[in-house]
Amino acid sequence: MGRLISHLLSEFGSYCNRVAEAWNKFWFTPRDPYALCVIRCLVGWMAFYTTFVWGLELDAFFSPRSFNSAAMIQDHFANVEGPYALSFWNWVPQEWMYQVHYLSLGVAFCFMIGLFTRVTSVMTLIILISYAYRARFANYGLDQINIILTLYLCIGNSGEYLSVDRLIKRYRIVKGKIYAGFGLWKISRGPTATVATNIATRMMQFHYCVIYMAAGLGKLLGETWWDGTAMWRGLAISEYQTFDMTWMAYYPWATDFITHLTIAWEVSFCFLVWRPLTKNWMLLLGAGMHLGIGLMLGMWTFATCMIFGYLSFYEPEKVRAFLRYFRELLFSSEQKMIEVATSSAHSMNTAALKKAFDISDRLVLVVDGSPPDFEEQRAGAIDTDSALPEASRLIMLDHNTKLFQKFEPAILKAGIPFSCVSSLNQLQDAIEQSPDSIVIANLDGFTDLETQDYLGSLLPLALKFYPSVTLIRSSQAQWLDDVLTEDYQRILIQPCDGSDVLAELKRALYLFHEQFPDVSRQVPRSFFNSQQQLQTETAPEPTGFQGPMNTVFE
Amino acid sequence: MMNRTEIPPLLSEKAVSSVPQRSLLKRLGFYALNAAIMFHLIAVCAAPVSVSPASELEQSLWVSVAPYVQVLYQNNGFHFFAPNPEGAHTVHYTLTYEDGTTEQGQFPHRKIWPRLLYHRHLMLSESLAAMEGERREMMIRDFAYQVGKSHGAQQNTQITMTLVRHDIALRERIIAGGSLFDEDLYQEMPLGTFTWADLSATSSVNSVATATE
Repeated sequence: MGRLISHLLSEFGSYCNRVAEAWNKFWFTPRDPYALCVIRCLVGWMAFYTTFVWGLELDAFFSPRSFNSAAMIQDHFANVEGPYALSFWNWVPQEWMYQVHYLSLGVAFCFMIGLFTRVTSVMTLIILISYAYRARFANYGLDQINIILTLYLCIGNSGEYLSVDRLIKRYRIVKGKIYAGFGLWKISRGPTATVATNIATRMMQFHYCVIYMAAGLGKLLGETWWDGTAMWRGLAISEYQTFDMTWMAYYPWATDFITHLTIAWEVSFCFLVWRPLTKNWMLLLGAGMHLGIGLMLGMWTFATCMIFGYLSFYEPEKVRAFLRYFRELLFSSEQKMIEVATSSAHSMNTAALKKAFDISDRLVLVVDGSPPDFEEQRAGAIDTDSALPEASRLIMLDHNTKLFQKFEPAILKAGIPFSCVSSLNQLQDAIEQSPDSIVIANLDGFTDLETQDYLGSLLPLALKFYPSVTLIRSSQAQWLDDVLTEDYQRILIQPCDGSDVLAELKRALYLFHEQFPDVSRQVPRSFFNSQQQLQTETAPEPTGFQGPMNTVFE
Repeated sequence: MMNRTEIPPLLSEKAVSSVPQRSLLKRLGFYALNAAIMFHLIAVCAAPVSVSPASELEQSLWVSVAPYVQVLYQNNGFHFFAPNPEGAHTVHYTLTYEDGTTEQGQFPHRKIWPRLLYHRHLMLSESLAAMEGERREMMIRDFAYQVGKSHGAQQNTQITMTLVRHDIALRERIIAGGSLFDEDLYQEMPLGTFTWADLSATSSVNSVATATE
């Protein structure tokens, strides 16, 4: 009996540990803030727009004798909702109303463009809450979701990208380089993943689940959501209508179907949005539903604001790749050289400003006639032959040695020290023996459990400080959704050839060197040049649509 | 040629053991952060679950987190179009000037632009329809005051307010040849008649001058 209890306690303890581990992983895994920054741009625009629209009838909504007079609102909060509904409008004298409104507009604009984002995000939250509480009876879902998203944007580092803050930072970096006499092609991004960003993102995701669950359960109290007529009733409210949808009365099966689909989607959202196989469908359905609300009921602002939050469900790298894809489509990809003379401060400042805006890294600054080590930067390799006497060890994880056979001639020719291992445990052991290694892992032939172990445990923990290229099959990509990797941990989805692997290896080395300039990971250039089919000098940036983390889809 | 090594056991244990131990202060901070996250999650759930019908437990949960959620404007039930989509309300008004001329209007109306502003006005009339008691009377006076102000009412101008409910036409009605705008779908609820002199008085006491039911 004692042994049984002891065993049960041990099992329970183990279970608790697993729960704690999952909790910590969910909330405290650092996350890149790119997706949050995109949401900031969009929500910032909405905050600015809603504030602007309030201003069209400022007197009617915010003066002491407005539609909801100050006396009535205060009475309402004191006796119904509670006394904590704070709004700065309660203390703004009537003659200062417009000045305060214009200041609020300015702050919301700064938040949208990402100027002093840390401060303006909090100020925008205060502004939105103040406007909402003062005009309490003119609020609807838009105000709720706008404030929810802004609240979480205050927590995360939402001004890190796509912001004026970022431009100022880039300008300072470039200016420093130019004044020091260095040319420049690419500005290092540096590590930006933070726990705060992850907490903000997770909160956003959780809140969406609560919203849809509450909306779904609330609807289940009404008989029209059961008998299928609710959607017709929604469409038949002429005060909401944008278009005459009366013809839908002749297609009851259609409105019935949409009614049941809405309920099913809302109630199941919080369960299925976390599953890789159903996530996109849930978000697609949600976007469709909200766009339908926007189109039929004219609530475009509410609909789009809800959709903005969907970006939190996507990995930052996926959002980045998506935007990069459109950027590549829209803008020229030609490189341009800019001559900078250190004798002219104007020339240096102008060049620094241009380069700060050059987010696609199309401009190459040539300072006093000497270009940056362009090919080296582009190829991502650090020149090595002269810098260090010995190259880093190359560790190849390869279950069936196919990968090794492909690279064997190049490795031998370049004389790189190498190890070829065939299991995760061997890989773990090998990197412990050679802490300055570079890893190429081919997961072809690995079981699901091994793949999960590699992507979920080995890569983010044991291989955290190793530049690496991981080759996976598309069937293994499902494990990528919850995996957070560093920029220098490249992942390729097969089929891909040797040149792809080497291009990614170069990129991994370059990105690693950017993050850890004092730590050396070297591969002789002869290795990259030794195979004729490899066009490593150009090593183009991936132009295809990129998937989770740094995955390149073919 | 290949440098193969022995298989070391317990891969995951090695990975975990590489996580450094935190100082006491950091650990306390970490626990506080966890507690804050938990509290926020509970608070976020408290508002929707406390929407009627709600148990005493749900209501007491709401009471305990109300200050936090109210400050952050998280006190929303998210019951959109629930339990059933219902008809909409509009406020109609008639201004009778001293010389006997009249002017009629309503809000919201389709000329209000942009659409967001239209919805703000729609929410006002919907809120009025949902409100009861003394605050409803205050709100009616506020509406009447705004109507008078926007139309340049004078001392003896009378403002008559009516709330109109537009019920939803069922599918059967449309199929039988009816319309969304059939007269019997509208119900008028008189809100009162006010004089501008009374409305523009500085007293905030809610005294309806002449209320006609």
